[in-house]
Amino acid sequence: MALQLRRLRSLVVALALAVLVVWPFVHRYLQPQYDFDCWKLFGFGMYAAPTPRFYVSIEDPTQPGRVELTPPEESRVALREFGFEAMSLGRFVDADAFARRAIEWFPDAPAIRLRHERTWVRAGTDRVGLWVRYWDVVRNGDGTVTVTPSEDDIDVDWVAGAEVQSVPFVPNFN
Amino acid sequence: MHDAPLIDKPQSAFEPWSRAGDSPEESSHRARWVLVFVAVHAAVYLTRVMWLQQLEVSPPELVALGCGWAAVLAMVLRRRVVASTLLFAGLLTSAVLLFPFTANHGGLFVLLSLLLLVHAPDANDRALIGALRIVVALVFLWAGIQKLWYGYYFEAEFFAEYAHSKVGFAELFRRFSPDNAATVLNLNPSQPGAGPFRSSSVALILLANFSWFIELLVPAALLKRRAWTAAALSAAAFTYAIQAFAREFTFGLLFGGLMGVFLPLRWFRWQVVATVVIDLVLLGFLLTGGGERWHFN
Repeated sequence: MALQLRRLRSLVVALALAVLVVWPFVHRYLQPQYDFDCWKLFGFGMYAAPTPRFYVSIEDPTQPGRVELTPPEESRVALREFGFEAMSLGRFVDADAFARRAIEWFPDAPAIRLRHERTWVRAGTDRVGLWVRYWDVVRNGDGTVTVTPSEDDIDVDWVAGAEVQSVPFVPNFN
Repeated sequence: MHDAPLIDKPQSAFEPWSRAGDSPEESSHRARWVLVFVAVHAAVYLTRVMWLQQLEVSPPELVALGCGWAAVLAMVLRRRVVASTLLFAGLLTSAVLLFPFTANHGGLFVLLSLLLLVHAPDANDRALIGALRIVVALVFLWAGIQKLWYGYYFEAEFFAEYAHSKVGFAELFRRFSPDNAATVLNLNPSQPGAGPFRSSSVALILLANFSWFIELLVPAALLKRRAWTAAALSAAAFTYAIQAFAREFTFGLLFGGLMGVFLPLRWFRWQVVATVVIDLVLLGFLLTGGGERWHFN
């Protein structure tokens, strides 16, 4: 019994230490590809990079240009939580359930666009970069709702105020 | 001719780290003080994240919070297995409930409580202390590697941006780089294209680079037993100094306090006593609504 306990303990401790050795490497490798917040997900990247700032808005996609809709007051907390979650998880975020909930705040709207903008200072240029992701939420004729995420996230960097690149999301595991 | 005493037979792969410095009795004392430190600090942490941060508390959050304070009670009653089990249950529940917002120190708390739990049934304190020392060194090492790897410290870029979030860092910037401070602090970190966020002050750049350098140097120094006290004191002092500006006391006290596993036992005891006193003062602030919420991160 004592021997079994000792073996189990050694296994648990060895596993925990192995995770502690390996996971931060994986975390750092995945971060630029999935754009999650390096302070989150246990990679010990706290204070390694500035915390991103975010802005969540709901727009009317049937109108030309960007027309923001005003969500009801009681949705503020949920919007803020979604904003934090999308900032923390980056491309890992599953916005489907929240998007379906959001269109219910606008019973007369045939469609909405949920937009998440994130700004943060980029290493190298030391200027604020912008990352935008959106989800089109459409109310179908049969009462169902379809959520379509943007195909390419808009990832914009600036050098001396000029936009220099727009990078589509291509996971790279090479 | 006689066999070596049973206590000297290796009981764990981590014993080389635990044997150095401590006798078996000292390891037992140290393990008890580690439990005091983790239990009280975790209970205050859980009080903030599970209760005081929110308007409504769900039953699972109450369970996590209850586990934290029940663990303190069990620790006082010297029920080590019960205390470790409750700690692990409370901290794991909180980490799951908070996900994806769980802080790194929330994850570290879970790992510490897991180590306390698996070593509790037969009180294998030398192995526990050995594993804790490895964890502490690895966490410090990773914090340094990540800072170096992300590249926001070479020209104090992180400080320049963080000065917009934390008053303490803005003060630091004004003190070390008054010419540059006005320009940097007038930038809008939410405005795409704004910048550059960096410092021209040599002193500030040196200070920024010292951050990752010491986090890499300390784990390397900890490989030598003779350097433990100096390395652990430097690391604890560095952590407390940084938190004087960042003012994230839960995080700072945890990281600084954990370096105590490398200090002489009597020093570690005082460090734990001081941390518990500070924790209780902070708890008083929390319960009476004093201080800024983020001070308790």
